[in-house]
Amino acid sequence: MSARWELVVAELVAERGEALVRYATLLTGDEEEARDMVQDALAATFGRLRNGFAVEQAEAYVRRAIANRFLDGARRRQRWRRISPLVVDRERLDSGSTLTGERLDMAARLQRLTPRERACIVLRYDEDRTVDQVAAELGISAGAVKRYLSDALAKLRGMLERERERGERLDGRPRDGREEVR
Amino acid sequence: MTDEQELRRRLREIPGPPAGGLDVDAAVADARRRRRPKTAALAGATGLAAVLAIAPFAAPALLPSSTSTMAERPESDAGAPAPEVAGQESAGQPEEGSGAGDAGTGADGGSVAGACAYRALRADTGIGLRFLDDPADGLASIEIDFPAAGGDLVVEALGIAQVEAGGGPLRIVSAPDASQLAPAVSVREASTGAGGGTVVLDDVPVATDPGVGCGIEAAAVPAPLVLGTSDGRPVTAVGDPWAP
Repeated sequence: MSARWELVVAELVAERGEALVRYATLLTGDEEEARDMVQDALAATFGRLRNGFAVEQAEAYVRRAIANRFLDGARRRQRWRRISPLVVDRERLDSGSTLTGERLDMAARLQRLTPRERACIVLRYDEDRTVDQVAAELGISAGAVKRYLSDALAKLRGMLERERERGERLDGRPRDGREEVR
Repeated sequence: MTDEQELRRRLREIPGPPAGGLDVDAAVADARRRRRPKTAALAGATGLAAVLAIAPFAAPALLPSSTSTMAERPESDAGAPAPEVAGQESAGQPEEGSGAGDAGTGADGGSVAGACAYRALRADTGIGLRFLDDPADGLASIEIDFPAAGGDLVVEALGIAQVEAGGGPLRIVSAPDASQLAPAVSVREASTGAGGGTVVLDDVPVATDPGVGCGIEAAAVPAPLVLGTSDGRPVTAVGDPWAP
């Protein structure tokens, strides 16, 4: 017979597995890496949690584990980049202005933010957390969250602006209204 | 439409990954492996508790009859096997003379009261301390977060306290007595000057003894229980709950 916590794992994966992988994918930009990260976060979380947790509480812990793994991994990669000038970002496709392409471009733009900025943006705008909740989840101050959000928004705005200008130069006409920076 | 609404819309338009791909069985198996050391330690503690429980009855039969031995033992209740019960008893019977501080007056009685009454390290010293990885295997990296005023922390031993999950004030669900903490192989020390900062100590030995229950029925998460000194002052306190 399965222990209570094992049933919670199964329920969590069945009900929220996709959302967890999506969350990790937005952070990492890589679906495979995201799945591994979620798998590892599940094992780590349930390797420590005692019984008595509902799915919602367990999900919060798993999400936190995902964020911690992502930021720890990013720190390690950052250290590596410092000593290895040959390491470059993975090549990403700029897929033009089709709807699907635009969605992919947004994911690519996210990847150009720093890990903490990206985590703040995803938690705040995709997961709809408050600034205080983001701060608690990432273990940083609310002030730092606001700063990361502000920096990230400015960067995203800049990226969109540059893309719009480039598009206008190439097309000789203004691009889709959604590309405009507000 | 604002920047924020636009960003929210764009983020949500990013397609999710195709369904599937997570392996529940593998996650459960991996989690079981990580839980095993704790289970083994718990079994060990249960065995020890059983030995302690029968000792008052078995020992007199094995030892040569000695009135002094019998006289020293308080009129022990037959039902004192569980450490929690023993703790309650000794709280009302401070007859033993070895009481030094809040930890460990007798074989187990005072230690229970002590183990359940540790203070939060952050509240006590302003220093934050948390596990950076799963401590169940007896080794962990710890992060020490010093306040702006700076400070130092000497870690002489480290254990695991189970504390109530969900934030809020510290409530210890179970914890080992300080005397049960295996001393670290080598004393580890971290310090900062004014301005504070964060120091990470890698591969710190952690005693995995589950300790005794404190009578709190609540979901629990592990937090580091540190024995050492801070700014020269002895501390035995609980750090921040572990976030996996």
